[in-house]
Amino acid sequence: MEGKKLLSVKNLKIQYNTRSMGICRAVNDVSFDLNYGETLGVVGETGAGKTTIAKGIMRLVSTPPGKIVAGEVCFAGENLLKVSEKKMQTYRGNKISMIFQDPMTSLNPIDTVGAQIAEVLKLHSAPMSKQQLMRKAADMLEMVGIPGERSYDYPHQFSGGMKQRIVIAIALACSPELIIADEPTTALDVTIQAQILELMNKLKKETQTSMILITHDLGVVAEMCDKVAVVYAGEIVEYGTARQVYKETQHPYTLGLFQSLPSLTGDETRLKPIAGMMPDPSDLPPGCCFHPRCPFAENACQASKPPLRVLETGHKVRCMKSLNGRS
Amino acid sequence: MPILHVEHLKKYFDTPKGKLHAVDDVSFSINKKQTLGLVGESGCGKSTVGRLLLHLIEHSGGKITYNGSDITKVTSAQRRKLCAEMQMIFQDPMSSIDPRMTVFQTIEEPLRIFKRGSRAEREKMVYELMDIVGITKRICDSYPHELDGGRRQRVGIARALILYPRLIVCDEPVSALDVSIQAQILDLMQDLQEQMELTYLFITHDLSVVRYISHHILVMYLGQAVEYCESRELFRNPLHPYTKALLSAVPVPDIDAPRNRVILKGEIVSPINPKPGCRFAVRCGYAQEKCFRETPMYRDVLANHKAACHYVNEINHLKGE
Amino acid sequence: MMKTEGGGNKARKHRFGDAIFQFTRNRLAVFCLLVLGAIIFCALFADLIAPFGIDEQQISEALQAPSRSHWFGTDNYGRDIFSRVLHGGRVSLLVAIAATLLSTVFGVLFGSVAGYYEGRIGNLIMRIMDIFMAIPSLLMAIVLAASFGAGLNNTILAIAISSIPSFTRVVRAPILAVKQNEYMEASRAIGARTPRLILRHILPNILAIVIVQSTLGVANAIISVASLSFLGLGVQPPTPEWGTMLSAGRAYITKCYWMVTFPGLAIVLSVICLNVLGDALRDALDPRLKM
Repeated sequence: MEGKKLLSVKNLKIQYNTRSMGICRAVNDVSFDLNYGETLGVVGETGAGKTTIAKGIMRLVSTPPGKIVAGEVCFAGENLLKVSEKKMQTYRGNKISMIFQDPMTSLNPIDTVGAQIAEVLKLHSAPMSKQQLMRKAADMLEMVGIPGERSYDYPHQFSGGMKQRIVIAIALACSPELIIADEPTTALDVTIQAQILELMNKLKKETQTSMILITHDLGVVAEMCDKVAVVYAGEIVEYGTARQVYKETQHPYTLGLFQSLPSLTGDETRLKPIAGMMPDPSDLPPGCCFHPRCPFAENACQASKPPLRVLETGHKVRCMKSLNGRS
Repeated sequence: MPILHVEHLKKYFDTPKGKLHAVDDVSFSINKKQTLGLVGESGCGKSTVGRLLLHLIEHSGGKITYNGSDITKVTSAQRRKLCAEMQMIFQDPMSSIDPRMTVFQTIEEPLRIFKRGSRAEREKMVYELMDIVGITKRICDSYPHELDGGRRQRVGIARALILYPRLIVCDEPVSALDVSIQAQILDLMQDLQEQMELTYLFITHDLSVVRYISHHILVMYLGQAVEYCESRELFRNPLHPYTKALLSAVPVPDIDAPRNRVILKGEIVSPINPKPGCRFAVRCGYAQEKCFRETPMYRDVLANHKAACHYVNEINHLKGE
Repeated sequence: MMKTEGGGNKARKHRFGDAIFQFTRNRLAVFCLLVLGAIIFCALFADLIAPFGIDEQQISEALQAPSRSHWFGTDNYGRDIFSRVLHGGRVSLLVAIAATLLSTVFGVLFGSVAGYYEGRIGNLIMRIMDIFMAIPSLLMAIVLAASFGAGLNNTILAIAISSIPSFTRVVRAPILAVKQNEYMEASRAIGARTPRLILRHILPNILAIVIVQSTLGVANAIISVASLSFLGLGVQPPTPEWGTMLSAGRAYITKCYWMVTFPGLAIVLSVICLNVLGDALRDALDPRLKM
């Protein structure tokens, strides 16, 4: 199934109607594709709208006050935004799974971990006996590197890293075609993060699952992702293969992100932070959202919103100019 | 000239299961106007060390010397005097600032506690500090929840600086901030160190940040010091197996970077009633039988480079006894 | 959840302003507030509004059903029930508010000490409160009122004392939570001592809970006053009070319903309004519900 399109998001627009601050344009005109077996990294800072995009795909946006105003989410040929809620429930946990950020709160403290894995299986698989369910749950635990006997233990008996493995086991239980992982390793220590990333890479290869990895960590994206979408103020400002975005950076914001990072090998005495901060989604600047902070901005940038330009390599950038790599 | 000298610092907590060795025999010094980075993962005791220095928690043993005087045991009056010299910047600016106080009140509070200056003088000082840390006077009457993370952290920094302390313990000050804001705050902290002649104890788990801002780095694991050396040296030439694993685990934002990952096996041993022997041995790829029996000594291995490992010479192909 | 990045110029200035806005969207709560306001207004200006005196007896007019001249009818002594309900409101509300004020002050005091000094002192206070809470509060009020004797002041005291334990308990819990917040540690780091920590940092952060508890406390106190007076332990005749009016009207309940109905309605209305208000305040002041 390699090379075939699994997910196609077109012109997704999500807004929140807050009483205090008017309309928050959380996601504006976001489009991207994902093939079978591919991993897409959605990178951005807090408030950029990455989690909202994920929630939009899963139709987990709380309505009210949120609302998916426009767009299409084509999953295996079907527009998820148009199916009934009942049908959507058969997708969640089954064909599309989500891994949330904080393993501490993602697991129910009063259920054994085996029971929590079994729950997903019960919801979406053909009816099985209790023993079969528990056996399958133990198998899933083994798959993520936890001894199967521990399926009778409770979440509090596991460390943070192991809890996240259990969360991954739950996500993979029904062999989904797509996993959306929202900052899956942010709350973990560096050495545990390395273990989890290795595990995720291994499982991805074994099961050929596609993944959308949401993170702010450019290092994690470099390890895990085939394609990268950089999100700023609810829009995709740069989109391409990992190599294109990292080595042939086009957008000033992406460039600014790279330059803000202190490196492990460089000799810089000053960082080059991006001035200012991300705009409030209820108060977006006219024209290009990034222009107030952009060192390359011109008058034209304020006048009209730049469209997503497609370069000949397939690399897309939402900017009038071209940067052609990092200096 | 070390402004702070810590010897054999210990902190044990009593838990129903036994004694938790949060900080176990840690020694280090910080030179004036320099930054010591304190690195380690969760549970290593680095935050506890910071709080012990400021007497926010009681220590269980050891000696702390500040500016030549022994400050290990202080009366509460002495402790208050020290407040004006040693301050703290916290990790989460949302929870470390009282949500019911305005920006102005938050920054002014230390002055009111120490009864410094008249009302007009205090106002002047607050505006001065706001200027120094780069926040506009306009947000004087704003509440913390109305500000973004970067501004909130600047407020926290202003509050820590208003008494013009000498030493600042920074507990993960940029970990809760976005990458672009993080860079702004790091540069600010560097400028402040210059302008105000500050000494920092910079506690963090982020290796790239600590490399950038520290002059020296101390690596901790499960309450013990495992390696200490000059900042860039740690990355050029890590000696301790844990440091090696830690450095290799950091995901590098470079597609073409080689990935020689040292994946640690096993789980972390419990810090409650720990047995003698190296606490890292269970996860160490180089562990020998001696490592499980005898606790390694924390000693000089190279010039100005300490490590606590029995086989440090062999692992790194060094000459030595 | 939305994060307000950016300068925050569009955000509101005051947290209480925000709470008020949230509150005004709850139409039931606003309605109850108005009704309660009307009741309080009538109670305050009873002298001016009441068409008759509280003890103006006109035997010839005794036991009259509600009519144009006597809106709520008359009682067995020919007194205008409407006027008596108005004046009675004054007494009921006065006692309820005074008692709640007292129990708030002492409840916050004990709760703060118990919450801040968790060790032996805290335990001692809480165990004492537990003992008191084992006795139903109305029963305790009865016992206290019986031992203090009847009369307005003693009634206030009895009701206040019986409410202090629950107040203490309600105040202590959020204090234990607030104590864990990092800004408490930050304040200690800048040199703040215990009195400042409690007064400046803990109490303002539990204000919301105290307000809500007080509001509900007034509702309970009204019922307590009425109950005590009904039993003859609270306010004494001829002072009108809703409870005493209920008691007096008991004998006539089948033939002259109005003697019991109207004071009863007054109690019910006040208590419902206060409860709705308390709930609405809790919702409005709960920071977690804020967007």
